[in-house]
Amino acid sequence: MSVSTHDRSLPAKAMASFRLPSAFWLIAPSILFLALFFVFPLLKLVAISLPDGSTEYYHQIFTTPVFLRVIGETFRVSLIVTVVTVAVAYPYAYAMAHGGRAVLLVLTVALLIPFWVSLLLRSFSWIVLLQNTGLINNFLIATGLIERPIRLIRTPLGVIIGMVHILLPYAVLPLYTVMKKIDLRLMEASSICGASWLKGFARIYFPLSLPGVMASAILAFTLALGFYITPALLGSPRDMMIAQMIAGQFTEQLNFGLGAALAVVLMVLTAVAFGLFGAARTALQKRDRRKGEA
Amino acid sequence: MNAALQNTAGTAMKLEGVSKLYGAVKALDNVSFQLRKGEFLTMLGPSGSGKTTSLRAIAGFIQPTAGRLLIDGRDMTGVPPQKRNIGMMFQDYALFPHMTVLENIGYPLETRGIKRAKREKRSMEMLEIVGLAHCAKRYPKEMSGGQQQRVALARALVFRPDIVLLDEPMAALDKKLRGQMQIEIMHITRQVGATVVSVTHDQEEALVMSDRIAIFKDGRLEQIGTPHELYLQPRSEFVADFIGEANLLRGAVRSTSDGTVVEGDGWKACLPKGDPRSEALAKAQKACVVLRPERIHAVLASREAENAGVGVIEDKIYLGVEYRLVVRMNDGGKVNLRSRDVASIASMNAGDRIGMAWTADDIVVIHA
Repeated sequence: MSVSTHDRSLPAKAMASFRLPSAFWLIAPSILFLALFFVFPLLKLVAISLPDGSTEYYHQIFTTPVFLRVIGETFRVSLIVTVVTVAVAYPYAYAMAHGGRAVLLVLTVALLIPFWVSLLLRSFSWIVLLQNTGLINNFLIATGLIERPIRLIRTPLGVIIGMVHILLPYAVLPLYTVMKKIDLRLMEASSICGASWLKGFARIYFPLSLPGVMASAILAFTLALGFYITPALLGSPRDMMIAQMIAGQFTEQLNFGLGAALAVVLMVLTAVAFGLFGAARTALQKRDRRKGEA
Repeated sequence: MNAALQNTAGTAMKLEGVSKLYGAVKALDNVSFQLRKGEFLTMLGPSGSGKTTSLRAIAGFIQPTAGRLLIDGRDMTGVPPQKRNIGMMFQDYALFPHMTVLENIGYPLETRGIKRAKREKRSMEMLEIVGLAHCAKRYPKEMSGGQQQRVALARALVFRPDIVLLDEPMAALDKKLRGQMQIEIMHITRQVGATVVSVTHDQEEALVMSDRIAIFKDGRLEQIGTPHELYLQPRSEFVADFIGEANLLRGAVRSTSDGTVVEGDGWKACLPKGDPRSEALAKAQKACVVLRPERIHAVLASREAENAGVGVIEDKIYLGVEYRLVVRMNDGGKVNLRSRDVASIASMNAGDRIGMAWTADDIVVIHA
């Protein structure tokens, strides 16, 4: 009895310091694992890209047009993919958030089932659908809408379709989380104030959903930058993205130093993009905190 | 009803046989009433009585299954909310969290295409009326509940709507603020000459704020009238019980040469011949007598009288200006009475047998 009373009267700080060692030992294995198999190889990669401290590989990357073109192309495709993904994800998440229980169930299942199928398998499936004798072209020809197959595969369009499909769940989920917290009575208030649905959407709903749009865009864009399998299977060599080029340096050219330097460039650019998005999002949150939103 | 109200003649709104069905459930059952310009009407009733459904039908958020809604003589049935020119203060205010107070109040003007400068001027005028001119640049969550309510009221009034709807206006406020805001909302809406329809389940709030009260029960409009009318002439036991305190005595009807008598075990209420209430009971077997607690006089000895009863004092409570007595009748039913005749009540004690007296004018008879 006296012991338990004593325990309860212990200050929180003392309790915390008492627990600290056990908590540390619980996370020690994961820290060790990450240090050994992630941080160390990463440092090694940076070391390989700088043989004897020389920056020649970086110099080569930033002076060779083909590298710059691929980096530019990677950003261009990722940007388009991000815009399309968020645009497709937005109404999807809206339906999930406000369409009722049955709609939510169907849409969630439809979203997550492909999520569990391997990325490789899904990219191959798109070949089956998009090729000249594939499902889409055959259907369009059969209905008489077109006479000759449209070239869908091995084009930037094919890459974008495949990437959007794979990124969709990543974009939908953050949007859904934000949207389901938006009180639809605000839209009622907007309409009784004299606003059409569209006006209310533009002035009330969309601004309140912006944090979700930002989160979706960050995820989609940073993931898109590193895509490898999908552009490799659905794109032409001309639409090569940086990840494919890195793989080429390691597996075909066997130029480990240049490959490593490209990987570091990708990593830094991704970090910069992430940082920019993050800064924009923090600014948005700061504004929202003033308005009292958690 | 005040004089100013009668001067501004004209019907602001009219509901004609409005019904709303949800499957087989009748949320609203053939509701009809009118609203005069400048009037403050409160729809009062327990939850599920149809008062909120009526409000949402007037706003246009739900479409009635049957009936018509006229605003200023125009048929508004089926017209979307944004084209009804109605202001509404929501229960939890529904202020736009990403807009400042000034932007919130200016929003109805913005949707009506009024330019920014004029919009801000009119919003500021409205803010001054609700006493929050110093808060124009704040965001809603930076303000207290009472302040948020004033902003919501300003947003509902700023465009001079034909009708202003208040959905449970006091529900989100703590008790202390309620009384203050009731008076304040009443003053502000009078000042701008608004026609108001409010919804509440709080009878005190309805009595304080309204020119007229509409009492709802089970989707039907039970009775509509001034607070005074409802208190003095309730048409049903429900209304009698809902507005103020009421003793309901159920008894048998008997005709005599002098008039009509309603009587139970140990009490009797007599209505003289020629009294309309007496005539109305001509064919009735049973009736319910409504007696307000302050209309019953406690008398020491039981005596034979036309309007009287006997019982045993169960509780005697001293409330300063008056005594409250709970009296048990012969049939076990209880009657509350209040008396300011402190001197004579002081000598009565719990357990004493007492007589009660009233006059024919004090009673309301409801057909059972």
